[in-house]
Amino acid sequence: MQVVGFGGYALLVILLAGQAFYWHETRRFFYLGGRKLSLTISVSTFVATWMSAASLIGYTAWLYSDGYQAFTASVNGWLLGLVFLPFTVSKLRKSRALSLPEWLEENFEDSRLRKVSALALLVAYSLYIVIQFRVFGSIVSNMLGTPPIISSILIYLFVIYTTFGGLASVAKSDALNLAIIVLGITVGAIFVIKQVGSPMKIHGIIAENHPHLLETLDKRGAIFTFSMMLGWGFGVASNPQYAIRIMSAHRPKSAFSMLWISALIIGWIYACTTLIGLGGKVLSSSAASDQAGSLYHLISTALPPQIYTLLMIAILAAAVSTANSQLLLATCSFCYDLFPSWSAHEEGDIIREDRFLLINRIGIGIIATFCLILSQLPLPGILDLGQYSWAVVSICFLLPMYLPGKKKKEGLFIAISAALVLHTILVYVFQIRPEQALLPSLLVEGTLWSLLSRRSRT
Amino acid sequence: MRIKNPSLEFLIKTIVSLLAIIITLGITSTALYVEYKDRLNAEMKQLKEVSSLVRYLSTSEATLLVNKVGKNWVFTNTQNPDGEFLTLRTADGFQWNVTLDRKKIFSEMLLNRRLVIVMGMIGLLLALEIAILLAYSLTRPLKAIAWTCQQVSSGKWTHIPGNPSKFKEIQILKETFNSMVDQLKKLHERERQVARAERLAALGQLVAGVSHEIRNPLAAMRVHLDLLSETVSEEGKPSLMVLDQEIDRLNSTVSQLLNFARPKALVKGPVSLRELFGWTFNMVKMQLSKKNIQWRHELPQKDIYVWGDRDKLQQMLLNLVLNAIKAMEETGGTLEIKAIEETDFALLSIKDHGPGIPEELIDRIFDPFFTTRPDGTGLGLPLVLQIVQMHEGSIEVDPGPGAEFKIQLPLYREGGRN
Repeated sequence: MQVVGFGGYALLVILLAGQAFYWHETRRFFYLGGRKLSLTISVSTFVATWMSAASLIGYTAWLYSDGYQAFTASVNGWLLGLVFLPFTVSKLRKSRALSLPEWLEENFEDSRLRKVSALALLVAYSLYIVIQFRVFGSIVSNMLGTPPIISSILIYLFVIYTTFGGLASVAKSDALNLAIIVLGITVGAIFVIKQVGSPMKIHGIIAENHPHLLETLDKRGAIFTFSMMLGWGFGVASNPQYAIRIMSAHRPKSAFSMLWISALIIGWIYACTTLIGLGGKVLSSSAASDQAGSLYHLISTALPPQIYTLLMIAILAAAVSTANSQLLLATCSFCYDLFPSWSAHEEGDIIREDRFLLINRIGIGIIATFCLILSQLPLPGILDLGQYSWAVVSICFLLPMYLPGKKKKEGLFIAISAALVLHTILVYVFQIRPEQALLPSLLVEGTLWSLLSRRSRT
Repeated sequence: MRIKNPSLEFLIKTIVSLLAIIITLGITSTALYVEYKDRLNAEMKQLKEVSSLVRYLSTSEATLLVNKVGKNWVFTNTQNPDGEFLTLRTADGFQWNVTLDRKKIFSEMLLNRRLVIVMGMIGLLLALEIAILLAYSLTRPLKAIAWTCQQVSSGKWTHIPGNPSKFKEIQILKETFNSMVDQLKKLHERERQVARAERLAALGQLVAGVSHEIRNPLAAMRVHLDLLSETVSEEGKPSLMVLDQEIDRLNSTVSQLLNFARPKALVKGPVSLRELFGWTFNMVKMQLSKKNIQWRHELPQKDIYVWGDRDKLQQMLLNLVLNAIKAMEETGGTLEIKAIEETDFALLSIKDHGPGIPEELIDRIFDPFFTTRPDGTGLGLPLVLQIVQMHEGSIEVDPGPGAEFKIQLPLYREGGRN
């Protein structure tokens, strides 16, 4: 069943979501789909990119093991970040920049900002792609009993296949992936409800058998839970994946519509995953030790093979849709932002533009291969990697994107660099969790920026 | 015109992708089918062997045996079941109708061969990536060729850019196309030269006929104007001055025509570019200050001498400088004039900061009588070209914005010309 399901998904991606090299392609088309993405495609690519394997597996497994506090700390934070995003629409749409690092340079007139933020993005997204490769490898190995390296090579090829054509082909594959994610998660949730009775009954059984799962706060306290929530929220609010989708929408109005329609679909998916996680606890209460294994155990023991396969394929779709989007952004950071001289020619110079896009495609291959190798090495758990990369992104973009008032150009580069160094020290020397180290780092960044800009004015 | 045909890239990709899918599916499913058939045969053989064995066994012994080896069998006690059932009868008369559980055999076979299927998928994806890259590398040179064709059709003699192609056919096409562009460019230039020569010949005849008729009356008019100037009242003198200026202008135009149509032989000698620049500046300095134009000239410390006709070269440089002033008369700016010494030639450059020459006019600016100014004669630049050619030099134009004329003239060396 799993073999057939997986083969079917592979064929669907190949036939329906194949990428294309467009005859009149330019970097604007490659990175932003020519800023002409329709509302439907924008919504599809926004939600499919949002739903990563980390958010589906990590959240469901966390919910399964720790109950409602997973919702408080993660989903709350993610949705909080979504509330911030409409405030960036007019700022981002006014700019002609093709990437968020370029937007920083354009707005704050400092080319160093572009370089440092591009480097941070490259590192953060490479780590995140590693997560997707690992999750995919782990799931396919569980499904098919193949060695994890073989499964990881499969996602590597899927991701390259859907990224070579730029944002337009990523968005096309995202439409298919979103349909599979929504279908798989919905069917899974319906089955769980049917088995247990109703959502209220799930709550009731959990209250009776596992009362500790009803705790909404982490046992380390409200501040811990709240800081974790803010960490995730700030990560979402300043995530270039979403900024790029706002920039690539056809009109400002469709960018706003994309955000609210996506919020509804995302809300639906989280409601379903919450039901699967808690309902799974009711149906099967023993779990494996690691996150991916825990979810695999949950759905393989609690669900019938057809629904289990569908759900697994939904998670694969989530992994592919997030990885290809991040791979494109990592490539953009590398080829466009870190080495702007490679694209110093006019967009209309089609020969040099073609060569530049070829360099991007080679970059996609190199970064994906690097991530594939990393995914086979022993690294921290899925959520840890995710939190580190999101925190790095927040440090680079959150304050410049959202700080109200007159733009202060001076001191931002030093403030961001200092915050990145501080965050790394807090995480690796003082062993503080990345999302918790984010808040003091942001505080230092804001204070430094404010002080340095004042000093330069006096 | 919008072309709606499918692209070659799409076709190559689709055909190769479909082939890859068909081949992968074909090979994988054939391999799986063969194995499935083998398993069915093996199971059937075992079933027949068991069938011949159980007739000597008691029911309890037969049940033990069947349970052990018949995991992929379906049993029924129905008398005449539908399908291919084999009857197992024990020594004590008990009987089962048995057939193979094909679905289970197939599922087990798929499970055992899952690695083959996954490797098939990897092979398929790799084949697709290769199809995409193949289509890409085959069609991208065509994009460069199409772009160059567009450039040539809009009058720009461009070669196909990029490095030599790895593919022989594309490289031949590139070389042939570039050679064709060169030939066309030469042909075009030759046509222009012929047209110019025809115009010059016609002009020569016209000038020969008309200049005499114009010059003589003009000379008479000048004499009578001088006589009149002694007798005319103060009120009439401004009108006489206008007449005087207009006669000068007519004389100048006729002289230009004559110079152009029947150029005098060159009187060559060493000409100092420093002196040439100084003379030109003196001629135009009033106009420069009136039109708020700055003059900037650059010369190496050691003066450069060219081998040529001083008068002609003065005329050439003056014409170019006057053109530059005209180009900047509305905007002002800096007129840059410089000279450097190269191996065999002196390179002069005259650059203005005006709007530049429209690309569509660049081929016509040296044509006699071609002008965009209502008060122009259309003889200034043709005369410049003629003087440069008479000196065996060359002229290039960068249309700008901020047009720049670059002229190569032969250097004068000690002991004679270069």
